[in-house]
Amino acid sequence: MKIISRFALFAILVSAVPAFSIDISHSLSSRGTVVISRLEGFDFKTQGSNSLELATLLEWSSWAISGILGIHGTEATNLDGGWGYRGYEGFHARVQVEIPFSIGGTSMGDLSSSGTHDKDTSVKEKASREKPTSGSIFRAGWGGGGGGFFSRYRETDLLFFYPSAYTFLFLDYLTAYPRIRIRYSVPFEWYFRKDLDSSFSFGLSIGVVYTWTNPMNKEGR
Amino acid sequence: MNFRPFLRSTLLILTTILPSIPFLSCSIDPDPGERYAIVYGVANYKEPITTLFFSVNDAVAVENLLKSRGYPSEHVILRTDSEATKDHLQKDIEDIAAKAKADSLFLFYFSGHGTQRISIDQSTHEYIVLYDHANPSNGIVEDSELMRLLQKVPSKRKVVLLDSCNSGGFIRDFPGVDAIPPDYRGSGIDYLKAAQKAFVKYFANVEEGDIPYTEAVVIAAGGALEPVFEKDEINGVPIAHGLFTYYLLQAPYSADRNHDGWITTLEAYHYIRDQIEKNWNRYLSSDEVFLPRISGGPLDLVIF
Repeated sequence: MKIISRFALFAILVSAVPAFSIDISHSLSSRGTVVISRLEGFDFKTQGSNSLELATLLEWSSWAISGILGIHGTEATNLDGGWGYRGYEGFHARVQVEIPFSIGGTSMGDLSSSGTHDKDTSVKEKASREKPTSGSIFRAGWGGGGGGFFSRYRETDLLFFYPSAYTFLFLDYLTAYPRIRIRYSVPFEWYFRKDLDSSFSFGLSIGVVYTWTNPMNKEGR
Repeated sequence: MNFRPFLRSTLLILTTILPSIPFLSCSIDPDPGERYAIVYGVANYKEPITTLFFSVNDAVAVENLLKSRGYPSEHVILRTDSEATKDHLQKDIEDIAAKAKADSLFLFYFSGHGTQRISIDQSTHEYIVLYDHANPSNGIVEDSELMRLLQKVPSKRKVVLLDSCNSGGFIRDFPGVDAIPPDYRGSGIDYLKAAQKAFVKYFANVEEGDIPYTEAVVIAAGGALEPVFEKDEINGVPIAHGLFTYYLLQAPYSADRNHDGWITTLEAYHYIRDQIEKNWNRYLSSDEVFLPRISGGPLDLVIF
C-alpha cells in the first residue's frame, strides 16, 4: 500500500514538472564580505572573507530555489590592543529561495532596456533566454536562506560548526547569450557561532549563471 | 545595451575589490600593554619521583625571556623547586589579582610533572605536580582548580603555558574540537571524526570541565594522554630544556609569521608544533611522539 502511495506521489510530482516549467541552472560565484565579530568583554573587530560557491538552481516562473556548496576563508583581525580574532577556513552548504521584486502582481524585477512591454514577464524572460536578442534585460529580486559551516581555525587542527541565516538583494544581467546571465548580489548574513557572542557579514557577490533548459519546456515552442 | 561594458565592470570588480577585502585586517598597535606573569618550575621534588633535569632551567629561561620582551621585573614572579607549592601559587595569583586590571595581560607558565587520574565516576582530571606532590592538598593542582585560581585575576587576556605530561587535558574541547586525538601516538589526525563531534557538540551544548577559551588561551606541550620530553641534546645540538620550552624560547626570533615584531599565541603554537614535528616526531618511534595543543576559541593574544 505504501509502495503504491509513494509511486502515486512520484507520478504526481513528475507530471507536475512541465506545468511549473522548471529550468535547471548552475552558477559559479565569488563572494567578498566583511565579517564583524564580537566576544563578550572584547570589542567588535572586522575580518575580510572570501568564498567561492557552486550552486544548482531550480527555477520556475521567476522564483528559484538553490542548493549551494562552497569553500570559504576568513582572515584574522588586526591585533590592535594586543589581541585579535583568529582566521579560519572551511567549507559550507546553503539552501536559499529567491523571489523577483513585484508590485500589484506585476513583476517589477525586469528592468527592460529593450523597450518591450510584454504583460507576461515570465514569457519575456523565457524568450530572452531561449533566443539571442539584440537588447538585454536586468532582473532584480531578493532572497533568503540558511547555511551550515564547518571551519578550521588557521594554524590549528581545531574544527568548529555553526549555522547561519541570510538575506540578499540580487540583480541579474541577462546577457546577449541566451543561457548566460551575470548575477550581482549583496548578501547580509548572521552566523550563530557558539564561540562568539555575535558575528555577521555583508559584502558583494558576483557570479555567472548558466541555464540548462528543461527539455520538457521545449514542447510547444 | 552592450554586453561588453558589463563584462568589463564585472572583471574590474572581481580583480580589484574582492581580492582586496582580506587586507582590511591590518595590524594597528599590537602592544599588549601592562603584563604580569607567574613562572613555576619543579625539577627536584620533595619525595622521589621520576627525575626531571631541566624544569628549573626552563622556568628561569622563560622568566628571562619575558623580562627581555617587556614584562616589568616587578610583575614577574618566579618560583622553583621547594618554593613551587600550591600555597605560594594561591598567594601569587591573589597578589597579581590585586594589581592587574581588566585590560592587562596575565601569563602563567609551568614546567614540571603532569599527570592524569580517573575519578570514581570515570571522569578524567589532569594535574600539574608541584614540589610537595605527596601532599594532595599542597602538591597537585587539578585542571578545574587552576581554572578557579585564574578566575581571580580580573584580566580579560590570560595565557597558560604548560610544559608537562598530559597537559592537553587542561583545554576544554569545545567549541573548537581538536582533530588531533588526545593520544597522538599511533593514531593520525582525524578531521572527519572531529567534524562529526563538532556538529554534535554544537547542538548538545556540552559544558565540560577544564579551562574554557573564555578564561584563558592554553598552550599545552602535549595531549591529554601523551607524555612530553626534555632532552640535553638533539643530533648534537645542546638543548637542556623541555622540548616545548626550548622552542618557546626561540619563538620571539623565529615565530613571527606576519613580521610585526610581536608573537601571538597562535604564532608561538604553530612554531613550537612545527619544530617538534620536524626535529623530534620525524625521527622517533610512535611511542615517543607528541604534539602541542592549543585552546579552540576565537581569540589570539599577543604574548611577547
